[in-house]
Amino acid sequence: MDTLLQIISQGLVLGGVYALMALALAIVYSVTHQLNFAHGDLMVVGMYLAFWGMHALGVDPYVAIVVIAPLMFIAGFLLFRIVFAPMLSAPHLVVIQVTLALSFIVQSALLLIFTSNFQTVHTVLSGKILRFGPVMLAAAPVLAFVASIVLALAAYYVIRHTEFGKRVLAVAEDRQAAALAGVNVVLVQASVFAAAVAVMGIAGPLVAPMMVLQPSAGLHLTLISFIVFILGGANNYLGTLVAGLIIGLSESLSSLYMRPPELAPAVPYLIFIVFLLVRPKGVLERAS
Amino acid sequence: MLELQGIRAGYGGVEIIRDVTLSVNEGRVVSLLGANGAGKSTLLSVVSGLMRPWAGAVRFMGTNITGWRPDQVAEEGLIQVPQGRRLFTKLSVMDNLLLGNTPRRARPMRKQLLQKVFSMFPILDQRREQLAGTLSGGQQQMVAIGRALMGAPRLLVLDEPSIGLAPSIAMEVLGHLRDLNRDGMTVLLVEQNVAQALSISDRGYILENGVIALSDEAKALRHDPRVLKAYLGV
Amino acid sequence: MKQQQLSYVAVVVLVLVGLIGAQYVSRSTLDTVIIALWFVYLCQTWNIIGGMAGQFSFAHPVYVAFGGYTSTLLFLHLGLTPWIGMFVGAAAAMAFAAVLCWINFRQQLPMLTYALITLGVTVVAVIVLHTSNFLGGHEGLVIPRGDAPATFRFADKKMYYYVILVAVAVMMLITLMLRHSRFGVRLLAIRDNQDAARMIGVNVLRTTLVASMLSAGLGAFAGTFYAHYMSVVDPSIGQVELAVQVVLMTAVGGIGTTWGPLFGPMLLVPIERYLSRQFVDLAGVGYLFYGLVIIAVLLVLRDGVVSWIAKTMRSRRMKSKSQGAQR
Repeated sequence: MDTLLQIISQGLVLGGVYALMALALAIVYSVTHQLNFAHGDLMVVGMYLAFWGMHALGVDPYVAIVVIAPLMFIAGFLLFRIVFAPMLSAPHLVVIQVTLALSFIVQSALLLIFTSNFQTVHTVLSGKILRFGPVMLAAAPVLAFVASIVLALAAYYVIRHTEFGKRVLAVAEDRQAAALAGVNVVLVQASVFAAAVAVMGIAGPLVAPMMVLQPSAGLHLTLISFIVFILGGANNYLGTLVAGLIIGLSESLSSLYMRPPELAPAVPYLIFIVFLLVRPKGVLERAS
Repeated sequence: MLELQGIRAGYGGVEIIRDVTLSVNEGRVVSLLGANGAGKSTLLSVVSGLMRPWAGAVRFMGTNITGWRPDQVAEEGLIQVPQGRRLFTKLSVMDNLLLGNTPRRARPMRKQLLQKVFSMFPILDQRREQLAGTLSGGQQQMVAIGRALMGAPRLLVLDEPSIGLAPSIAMEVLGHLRDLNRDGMTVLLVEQNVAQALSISDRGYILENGVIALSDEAKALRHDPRVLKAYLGV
Repeated sequence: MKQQQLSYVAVVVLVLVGLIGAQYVSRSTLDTVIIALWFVYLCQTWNIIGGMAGQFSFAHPVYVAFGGYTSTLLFLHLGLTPWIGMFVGAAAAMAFAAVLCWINFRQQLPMLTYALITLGVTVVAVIVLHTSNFLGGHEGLVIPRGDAPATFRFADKKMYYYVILVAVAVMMLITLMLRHSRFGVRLLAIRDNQDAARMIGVNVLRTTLVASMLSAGLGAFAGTFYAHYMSVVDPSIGQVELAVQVVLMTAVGGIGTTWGPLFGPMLLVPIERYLSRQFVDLAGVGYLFYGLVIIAVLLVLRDGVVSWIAKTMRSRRMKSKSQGAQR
């Protein structure tokens, strides 16, 4: 019974992070209608930056976030201007190809700089355990979970209650009408994208201690983000949160219960495929 | 105030506007008329910066604004109420209006502009927090016009404001436009309802086959046999 | 029709060049060319469904895996020669493709959704390959080397080269024939506007089924080739990265064009191989440049190199025509 509770808690913690990643993807998609196949790789960049900070400079990853996040914001802004903005009216196919190529480049660059050796990240919380009644959880994942929820709530607040957020909603619903009303649409899109990348820059270092880093980790994260995004429903923040938790839970529960256990990683994808088959109109088509 | 010279524009490879030259003088109400599909909305897209013309120039208050972004055009004071209302349905009436106040030039006047809009359309004041998507057609049109007014326009452009509205409501809307003009607002109006449009206009242009086929004072057009036959079914 | 005949001649010429050139190059160059041609073949087969029919699919590696694993299993367990076994593999791939295609049609899946489903299918397939002991798990299935042409095992590397060269040439001819056939026209109609195609009488389901099965079946042969060239078939043959590479290489050349799938890999694979060899210590340099080239081409020449060349030639021809008319 305790093992089950343990697994469930771990799944929820993971799910919270997944939800955040999917939320970032969703908000960007709502204003640009571009599905970024390099999404997960950007988070991996954040992780490796944290690793480098710890390894080469001796800086704790949690502290490094203060530098990494703004850095990634700027990088995200430039990336949008250079790669994504020219593609704003391009068909989905082109966006898929270019972002796949981007993912490729990021992975190769990481491979080049950090080699394919598995790396681990240590933080001030490494090894610390928190106790919640019968459940014992490592501190790092809990922090990641809490931070994810906080960021998600912050995003919700900004979108619903600030002037900038209202502009985002306007651009998401009707780009042209927003432009006519005086909104600099491309600036809004670039800012949202940059903010999403910055969030990856926060989530990356938070998650890094929980994982073994490798350059190719990005694809899996991208796909999980897609799955949660689509399952959750585009403008449905609560739905995305729930979907993230479901996927996180399914991953951890299947690793416990699945026979044979090696098939466990397939579960989220199977859920995804079934969902898409049953509700293909889903979320993306309002966009095109 | 607004001058279009030799505009040529289209979509993909298809030419829609062949060669349009027209002007809107300050303080006037000018109507741009023509059959469905004549290209009126395309022309307005060019004026507002949603589309780049293949040739020609758009000049607003002496400045060449051809190819400017829509938000830059709005910043100059040329503000369009697009066809079909195009409100932000998930936002409240108030939020929609405030979004219209985005141009930096208009921001300091926010309070006064809001007051003007509410005095013109009192029902919007009552339904401030209501979601824009839940309003009736006529009320939505008021929000759309109000949103444009919040940008402190020097020239107000409207693309078929009476479309989909009951005739009485359409008349009401046009009445508001006439009132605005009396207070000094320059208006460029695109309309399918020729009679109503000409009744509040000073000048009219008829767009046909991508060029201006007729251009005259509204009074004259109202009695022009060509107009009567083609558009008023007489 | 002159251009059509020119294309056939070009294929023959290229084959001759390939045959003659092979005699003068080093082993490592030959290895590079074999890999490049293998990718060309993959891109050509993918192009039928992805480019010409407009059905973006990431499931191609699954068909390749069907081919490689089926023929190898039949060979290892039943002694069946891979030259026949590969047709069984192709049949399995075709059946799978038919299922995917039918689901796509039945559910009227939007393009992006179908792409994501095929992506999911490929990921699951790789996991299954890793998990199954019967299929060799992580290590895959090993094919004992030998000098036995009857069972697709050659001692001389050049023989593999000839096989893949012929395969590419045959695919090129198939592509040209498809392009100039009524079937090809129907495919293009479906790609441009499915509803319009249906209205003019095109049987969308049947046409896409044929295209999917053709693409999958021919693609499966690539799996058998790879298994015998490498002497092993493992889960890496079905991985998503392969699908990504095929899509990107074809995109660089020009998705949907005839020569694009030839151009893309022939440009990119040698670059990657050369750089990897030059900078052995820097793992990933090759791929990095490869990725940069891809993104540069995609951003600058949206539709790929071949389309850009075609467009430039067309506009030059029009310019000279109008100049001629003015005289």
